[in-house]
Amino acid sequence: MNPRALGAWALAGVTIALATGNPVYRVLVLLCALNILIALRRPGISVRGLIVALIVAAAIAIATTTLASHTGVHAFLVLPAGIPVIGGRLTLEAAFFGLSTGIGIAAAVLAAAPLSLVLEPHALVDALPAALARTGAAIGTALNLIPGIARSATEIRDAQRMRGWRSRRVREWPDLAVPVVLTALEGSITLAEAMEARGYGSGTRTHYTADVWHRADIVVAASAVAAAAFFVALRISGVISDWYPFPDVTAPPVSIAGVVSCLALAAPLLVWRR
Amino acid sequence: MVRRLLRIAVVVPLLAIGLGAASAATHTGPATPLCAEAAAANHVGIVIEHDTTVKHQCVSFTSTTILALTVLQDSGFEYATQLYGGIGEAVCQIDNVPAQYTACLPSSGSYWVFFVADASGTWTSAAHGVSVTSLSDGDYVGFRYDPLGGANPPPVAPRGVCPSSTPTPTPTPQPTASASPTPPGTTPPSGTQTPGPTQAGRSATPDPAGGATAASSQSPGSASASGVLGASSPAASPVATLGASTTGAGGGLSPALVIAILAIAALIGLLGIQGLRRRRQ
Amino acid sequence: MTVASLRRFTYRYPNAGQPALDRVDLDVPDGITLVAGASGSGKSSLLRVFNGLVPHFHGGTVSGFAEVCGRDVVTTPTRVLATEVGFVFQDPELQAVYPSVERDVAFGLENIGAAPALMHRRVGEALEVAGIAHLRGRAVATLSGGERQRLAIAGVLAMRPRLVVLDEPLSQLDDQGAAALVATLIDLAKQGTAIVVAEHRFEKLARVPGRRIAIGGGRTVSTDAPAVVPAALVRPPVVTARPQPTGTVAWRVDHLATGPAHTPVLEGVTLEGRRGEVVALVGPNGGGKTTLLRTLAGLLTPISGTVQRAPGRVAFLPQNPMALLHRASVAAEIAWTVRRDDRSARDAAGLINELGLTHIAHRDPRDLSSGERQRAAIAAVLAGSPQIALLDEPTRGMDDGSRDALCRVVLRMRAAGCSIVLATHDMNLARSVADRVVSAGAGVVSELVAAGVA
Repeated sequence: MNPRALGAWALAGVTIALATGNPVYRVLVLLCALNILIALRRPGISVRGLIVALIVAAAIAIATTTLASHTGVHAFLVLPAGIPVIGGRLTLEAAFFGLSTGIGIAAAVLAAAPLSLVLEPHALVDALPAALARTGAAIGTALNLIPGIARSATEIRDAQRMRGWRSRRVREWPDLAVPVVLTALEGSITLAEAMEARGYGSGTRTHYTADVWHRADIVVAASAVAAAAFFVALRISGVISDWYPFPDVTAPPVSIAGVVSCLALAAPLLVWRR
Repeated sequence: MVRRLLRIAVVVPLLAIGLGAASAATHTGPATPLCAEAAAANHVGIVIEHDTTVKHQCVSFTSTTILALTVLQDSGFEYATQLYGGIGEAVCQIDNVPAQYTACLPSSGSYWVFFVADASGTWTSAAHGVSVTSLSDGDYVGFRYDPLGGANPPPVAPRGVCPSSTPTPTPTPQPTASASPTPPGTTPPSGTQTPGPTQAGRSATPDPAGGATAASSQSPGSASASGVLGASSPAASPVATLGASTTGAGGGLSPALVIAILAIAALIGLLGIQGLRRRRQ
Repeated sequence: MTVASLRRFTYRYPNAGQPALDRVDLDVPDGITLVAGASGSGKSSLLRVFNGLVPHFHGGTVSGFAEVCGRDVVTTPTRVLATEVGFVFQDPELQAVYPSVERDVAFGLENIGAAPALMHRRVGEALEVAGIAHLRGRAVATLSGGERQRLAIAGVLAMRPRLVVLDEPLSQLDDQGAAALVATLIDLAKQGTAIVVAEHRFEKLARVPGRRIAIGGGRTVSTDAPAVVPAALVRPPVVTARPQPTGTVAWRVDHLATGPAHTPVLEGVTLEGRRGEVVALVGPNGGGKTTLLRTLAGLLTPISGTVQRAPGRVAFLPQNPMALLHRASVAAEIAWTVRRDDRSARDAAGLINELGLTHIAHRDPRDLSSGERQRAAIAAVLAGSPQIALLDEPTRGMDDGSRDALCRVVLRMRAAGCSIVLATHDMNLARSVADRVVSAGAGVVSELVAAGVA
């Protein structure tokens, strides 16, 4: 799985999810992205937390839209008009609109999620373009150092506990915090020395990439870019339209071309395997 | 668990505000009112105002004159009338305001005041009821919900409710697909995502509550084509969707929608299979 | 062929009274050169002269002459010297820059602006020579300590250096990792790279052919004589006649299964320890020694089975005890450990004495040399007459003097009735102090043939 191909796919997914207000296409993008996340995620990674967060986000979107917009024919509840902002009719149409917004947010987030849940963290660093080379080195060292710092924090906490340290008293927190910070600082100085010993410094640097494009990667990237471009063209030309369920909720307008573009985002499922 | 919820509680409103702001920012200016059946000969504009809500609609007709009541009828707004002897039908309720009433023209409280204007756009208080007042092409009717015994100012100026000239090349009766520059966006009619309760119902938004004229379709999601842009691309319409054509209320099931639903079902099924497979691994 | 030479080279760290290197005269030939010396002897400073970290990275004042591969060290920046001299440091976890193996090996080549095609070629070669070609696509975080050290070597070899310098590379490795690294070094020397290695753990390098240099007090003591290892450097294990332990049971585990995050690393362990007894726990890294110690200490809840401990203080010495020291002086750290027990405060003075810390007890631990810091950390943790003492790799990176001091402390605690468990992969240490040797590995704990009394 080439990281840049996945990056192209994610960009296409987010573009399509945000390019239209029509929930049908958004749901298609969302389901494609979810399928890819489940099929290709790294072993040991769970998407449950993400899904819960997105459901909460959608619920908030529905609630805010219903409470603030009082337009629509089918009201299911009427609050006293005197209450500011939320007073008035709470309509089904507003709820559906909020749902569509929530689905849009979820689709965009899920389209971007594979970048962190499917790829190894170092693959992203390696795929950075040459212009960000220094940033890449900084991020790379952070990725290397952070687990070590976390581990040393646990070890220090355990050892201090055995010496009678109790975490409950705030006064005793320096006994944990100071060693951890000092150890982390010393570690980074040691690493700086190692980097200097390997020639790091001012001067021209080149960029090493192990970038290999297999046929499957090309298929994914090409289909994603084509799908997004086609979709945007359909949107601009008016074939694909937004969905306003006001004043009366109706079925959203659907275009076959749009559906096909969205389904093209499922290409990774066919050609990539974990 | 608490930490996770806190993180969600912080991130999600930011996301929502961001999206809302983005869409609101791209929203360009006062959106144009609908005037479906642009090809029809005559138009009368109708303006409804209550509290801070202003709505308007352009109604077209082919005969020489039209009754104000018919205009109200064709406008798509919800309304209710009551026969009051000499003045004919009196308007008791428009757009579900007031939600409940006992008397159409009460002795105290507010009532619907009826105005007319000619092409100049200057409102005058109508002398008779809606069922006996006739209007011709280029006129306007206005309704304002005002307290009895108050100053009874007229509604907002009706300029632009109906376009002055019919736009040329549109053969299509329904400007279905939106060719408008209005954003691909999630612009809810009452500006919900962005904070600002005053946005609720301002007529800056393209009056979706008006919908198209009752005779024409509800093509949902069709923003205006005519007033601002000129023709919607005719090429787009055949491919475009939805046989929302003649239905007034809910949209019908087009073949494209059916295919989309099948695709969605297939993806959900795939999701279930994947989930089971990964769990077994 | 002489690869590097120093003439009357003197170096002082910034704000230091004594010079770290004092008029050193040295020639480094082809082949392997072993450098031995106690901590604080100037060993690390000497190694850092070869690639210019002394004086460029560490600052300070320099006099005399030092040349490596024909370049003057004092006037040539480290960046340039790095193309000829590679340096491998002591800590495997603090050398990798990029999180992926391939990219990290290419780091040095990126710094000199090498062309991508050249980089690809050199990376492949370096991985082969270092013996880790099978780790090519891996993430650095998944490598063991020994593999990470070989990754560091590969990163150095990608530059095709003339000289490779290694500063105590074996100190954090277990036997298997150490053996693999030594084999790699021997191969390298055969292919024409000069190597300088500083090490405490001479038993691992005993069979390595090459010159031996000793350094003490900033002066090189002996040179040449490749076959002769100065007697002062290799001490026989401390073996004294000891009575058999007869104390009551101090701790016991019964059918214990334990491991981090509910995944068992050890299963079915039944073991007990008595007062006045030293149990050595040996085995490879990751085999469960630390897990067993933490379970005994009460820091890790067993997955199943029971752990019983006699009442009284439990002392736990972690793998990196120096990290704990943050107070203003060694004495303050010790005082904090024994703060709840006045009687122990008196014993603390004896402990300071025994570990040779009397003259530095008032100093800030982080200003001390590494060996002194280690001994200070041991004093800080073991002060206070604990009933049970659990020590996790206590001699890691220690020089011989410190190791001897530790043995004396352990034996004294044993005589005082403490029950001690010592996790180590230093068999010499185990043989010196242990009454029993227990092996932990592959999920199983089993008793080895009891180390008899001399």
